[in-house]
Amino acid sequence: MNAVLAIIAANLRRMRNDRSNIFFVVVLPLLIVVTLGLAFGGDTNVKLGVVDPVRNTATRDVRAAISGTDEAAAETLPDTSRLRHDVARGVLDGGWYVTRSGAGDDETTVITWVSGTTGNDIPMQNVAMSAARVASDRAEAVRIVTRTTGADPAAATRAVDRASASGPRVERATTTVGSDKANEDSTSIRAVLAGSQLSLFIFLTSLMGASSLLTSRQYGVTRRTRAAPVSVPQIIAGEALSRYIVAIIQAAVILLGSTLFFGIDWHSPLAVILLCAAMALVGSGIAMILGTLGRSEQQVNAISLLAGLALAALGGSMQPLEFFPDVMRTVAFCVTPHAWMNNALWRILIDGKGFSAAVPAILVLSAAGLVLIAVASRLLARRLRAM
Amino acid sequence: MFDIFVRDILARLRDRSALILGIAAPLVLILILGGLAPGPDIEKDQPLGVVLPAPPTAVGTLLTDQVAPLLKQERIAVLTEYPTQEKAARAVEDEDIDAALIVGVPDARGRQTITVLAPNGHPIDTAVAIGIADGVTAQANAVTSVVGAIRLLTPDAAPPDAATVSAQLATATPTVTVANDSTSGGLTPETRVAAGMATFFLFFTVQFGLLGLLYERRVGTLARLLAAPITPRQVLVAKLLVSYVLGVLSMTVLIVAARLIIHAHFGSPLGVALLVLSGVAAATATVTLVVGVARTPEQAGMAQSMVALLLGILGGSFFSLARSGDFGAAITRLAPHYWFSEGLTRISGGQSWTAVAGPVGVLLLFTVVIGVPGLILARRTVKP
Repeated sequence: MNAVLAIIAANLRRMRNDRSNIFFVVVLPLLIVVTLGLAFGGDTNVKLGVVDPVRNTATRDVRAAISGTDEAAAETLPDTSRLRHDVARGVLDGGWYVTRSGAGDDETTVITWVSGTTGNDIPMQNVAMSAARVASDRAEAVRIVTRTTGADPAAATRAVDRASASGPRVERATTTVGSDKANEDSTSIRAVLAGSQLSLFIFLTSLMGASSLLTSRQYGVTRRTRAAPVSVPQIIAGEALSRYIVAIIQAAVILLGSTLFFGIDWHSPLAVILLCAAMALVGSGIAMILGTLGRSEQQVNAISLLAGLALAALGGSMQPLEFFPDVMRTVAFCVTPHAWMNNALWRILIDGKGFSAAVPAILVLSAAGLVLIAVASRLLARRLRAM
Repeated sequence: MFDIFVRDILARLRDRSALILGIAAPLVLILILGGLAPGPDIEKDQPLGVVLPAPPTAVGTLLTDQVAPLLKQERIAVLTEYPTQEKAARAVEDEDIDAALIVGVPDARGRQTITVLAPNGHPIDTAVAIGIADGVTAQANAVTSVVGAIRLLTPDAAPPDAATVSAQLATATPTVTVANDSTSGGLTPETRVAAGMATFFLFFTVQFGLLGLLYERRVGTLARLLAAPITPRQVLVAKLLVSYVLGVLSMTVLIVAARLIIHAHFGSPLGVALLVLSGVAAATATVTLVVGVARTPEQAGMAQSMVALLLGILGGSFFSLARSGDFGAAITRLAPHYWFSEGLTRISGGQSWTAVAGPVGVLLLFTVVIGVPGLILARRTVKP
């Protein structure tokens, strides 16, 4: 046991002495926390832009309906090119511009929605469509009343408004099926987005540790350790735990930082902590395999980056799994750890499920991590015995 | 100098690490993100349930007789009737249907509710059902308003028939419509992904030329080179050219591949070319500074990885900081990645190549500010 601890201590000391490692272990995770906080923390309102040169009752009703949800803030913009630019660059979640087509009785007010990249604006687009439908039906009601009674449009409008206020109403309600309450508010959606980046960067920073194991081998540290009265399993345990401790430190910095400084509400913190720990285990296992098989630092870093980002993309860290076709979703669960973590976070944060929803993902990721570490250990043992 | 350049370029093109970082990694990500996952899409013929009240009401009839055939014809949704709310809820839970519309029994004051039974955590599936319920609600209320208004204005005339009014409303051309313009918000999702990944990996690709200086110095080939009739400046320029050409090659291959495979649309070819040339110059400038400051190839490799990750995160390769207010908007502008995407956004609507002048100017300014001190420092590396 002392030998294992000595190897861990030596690895951590060596890592501390190389300043570039401080970047990957502390600075990079902190930077990720700050950027995650800037991107997903703070103001949770959906930011929308409006270009409305028409300004009639219908367009005012649509804007009032959106503002009335208390979920969105709509800012008036001077022209459509500014709206398109700000939506395209992610300054706004979405927005709409108003145009007119036709003339006289055939005149139509066209509200054109410009969707952003995050999908945050989709609920607001639905609110706009409902408000537009109500406005359209009201205008048609006035036309029918004018035609039928011969009254002038102003009198018909007043009569329609009075009848609308006093007559029996039909309303729409929404109920979620199942015992748990769905959290589709923007705070939860933002937490899901932050969580998907959490899985990406915990895995990526874990993989970037692969070159550290490689340099241990190349500098002859592992060979010198082998010359001491230390068994191969002890070396492997020391190396594996070193990688895992570093990965856990990186994960803790990202998780704690985003929670404490930017108030991201994870709903079930214990589940999220265990998911991060399991994810770090998978990352450490793959890092050990790459560090054992790799030939040069450049090669290992290149493969780590490729694997870290490709698996994250496939696992729903850059685009929600919900948007994937069914086949892709199945592939994502078969080959990426990210899909498991992201899906568990979705179930906790959006579906409103508790800790139990994360248990399958925690078990699968932990088992995968242990299998990968076992494979890496066998490979490393073969290399050590060949020395 | 030309010989050094050609030899190095050929060596790098044979180097698997350079090919992985310059071509394979960004291409894989572009294919995954841009091609295979096409983004949120509402499916056709969505299966929805409906529960009608007994005895039948005008709202129920409106839904089944007027709205349902239209939904079927437009291939938006197919409505299946369920006898009770419990059975519809079970069908939603079992995912037999995406959502259900429950038309309630009117209360004593004639008020009626259409309840959408929505599955947990599937906002896109629910959107269609909510849209249908809102449409029926708006139309039913409009019928009530028309009938009430006609009674108010002509109290002595025979009351209008609600079914006739409903039919008139249903066939009328809407005076307010909502159109979707998701592709007009600048770059298409495919193009945005392709641009983001190509620029992110560019900062790793360009290291393969200039970093060679430090490796050659360590193994002694640099000293042998300088013993030949060749100046240190020529060696430095040759390595710079290798980095630059590798960067341009990588970006060109990725842009052409994205255009052909995932149909990314980049706008004016001249504008794109200017952005690529100035973007690669900015990336080469950073690696020049890194090589000037670092003492060993390992240090330089690690430092360049840090710079690439840092600028990639700040510049919006993974998520945009522009939404987060003035501070986020200011720091994201420090990264060349931001200006490359900004340039593409400005020509995405078919504008002339001159629209990229601003972003290209910023990229060239970045090149000068970072590259000149980099060159001064890097000259020390090639001193005999």
